[in-house]
This record gives sequence, C-alpha cells and structure tokens, in this order.
Amino acid sequence: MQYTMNINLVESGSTQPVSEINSYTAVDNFATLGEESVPYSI
Amino acid sequence: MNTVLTSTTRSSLVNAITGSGYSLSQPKYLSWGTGVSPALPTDVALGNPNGPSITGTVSTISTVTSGDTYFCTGTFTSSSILSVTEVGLFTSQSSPAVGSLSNQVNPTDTTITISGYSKFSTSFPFNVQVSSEVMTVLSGNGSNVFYVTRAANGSSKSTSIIPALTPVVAPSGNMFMKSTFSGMTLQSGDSMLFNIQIQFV
Repeated sequence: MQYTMNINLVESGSTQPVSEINSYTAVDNFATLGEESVPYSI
Repeated sequence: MNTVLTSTTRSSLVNAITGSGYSLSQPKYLSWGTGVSPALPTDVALGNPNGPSITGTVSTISTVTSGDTYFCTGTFTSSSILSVTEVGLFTSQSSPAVGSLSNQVNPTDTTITISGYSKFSTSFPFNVQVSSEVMTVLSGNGSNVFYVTRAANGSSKSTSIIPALTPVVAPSGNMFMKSTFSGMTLQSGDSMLFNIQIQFV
C-alpha cells in the first residue's frame, strides 16, 4: 500500500495566530487521519 | 500531530534576519522513526530513528505569495512491519548513533548505562535525545556508561523514571524540523510519501 502524508507548517511574521494543518491520507483508503489547527508563530 | 521547527532552526533564522549569517546546511534529508514522545522545539533528534535517511527533493513553491514556501518531498519504503510515528528534516545524510538504556534513569541521575556504546563518538561533549529530554554527554567510561548533564538544549528534565530500553540517539547534523503523529502501521513493502511544506506568511 502507498501512503501520503502532507505536513504543512506555517510560520507567521504577524501577531495573528495562523493555522498549522497536518494531514495524512492513504492512497488506497482515502481518509483524513489527523488534522489540527494550532496557533504558531515566531 | 505535532510539528515544530527546532530551537536551532529558529535561532538560525533570526541570525539570517539580523545579518549574523545563516549557519545551517540545506535541510533536505528525511528520516522517519518510531519514537513515542511528542515533538518539542528543544529536540535534537528523532526519538527512535528507523533505518537510513533519504535525500528529499527540494523546491521553492508559491502558496500565497511568490516563493513563500519551502517544499521537501521524499518516499520511504518499509522493510518490515512498522508503526511510524515521526519524521524529521535534517542537514546531514549521515545516520545518527543509536543505542538504548540498559537501566532505567532516575530524575537525579547524572550517569546513564547504555548498550551500543561503540556506535557513539569518542569526541566529547555531544548531545543525545533520550525520550523528550536532551542530555549532554560529557565523557564516558569506554564501555557502557555516559556521564551526562541533564536537561540540555533547553529541554526539561524528566520528572519520572525513563525506562530501560529507551533509545539513546545522537544526531548527525542538525534537525531542522520534526513532526510526530499517531502511529501509522505499515506492512513490509508499503511506502510512504512525505510532503513537507514550510510556508512563511
């Protein structure tokens, strides 16, 4: 089986929280197994 | 899931902005593993790396504005049944040194007994990742004991016992980014494509 994991990290230069959205999906069994929205900034 | 840029990365980016120079090599090497601790910015390695790293394909892409996103992609193929829980981006392709605790580590301990001693550098000091804590190895006895400083690199000392058999990992190069997630069970021959994007907004 082939899987794909997408990891998106957003680095913000503003004071507004931004979203970090991580998800991974199985190609043969398309389903979002994990997703979250986390304030993250540097 | 938990994804972080490490403290080393953060300070290097600030150095780039202040003109102090960006000191890290390109983070294009991916490593995956089976560690159990959530990613922390103070981490220096994966909790339990699995096999050699791979060289990712790097590009600059435009998510919102031109060239705002670093993109690295690479595919691992499992050679055994594996529950993958972590992936990291590194500046070096060399494999980390990996041993394990022979005995449990108590919160007040400053020595650790390990198996796999010969896999580690004989040039001290160096940092090791032990669960969620980083320790600086100051010296060793030449066979199975490291003398350490606890809570290194800004990490927190474990307030509970770190059990025997916990991996001890000395990184090769710098870990740029680490992501941990719920275990993804792979069968032998399964492959996993990681698409890692770091977008600046």
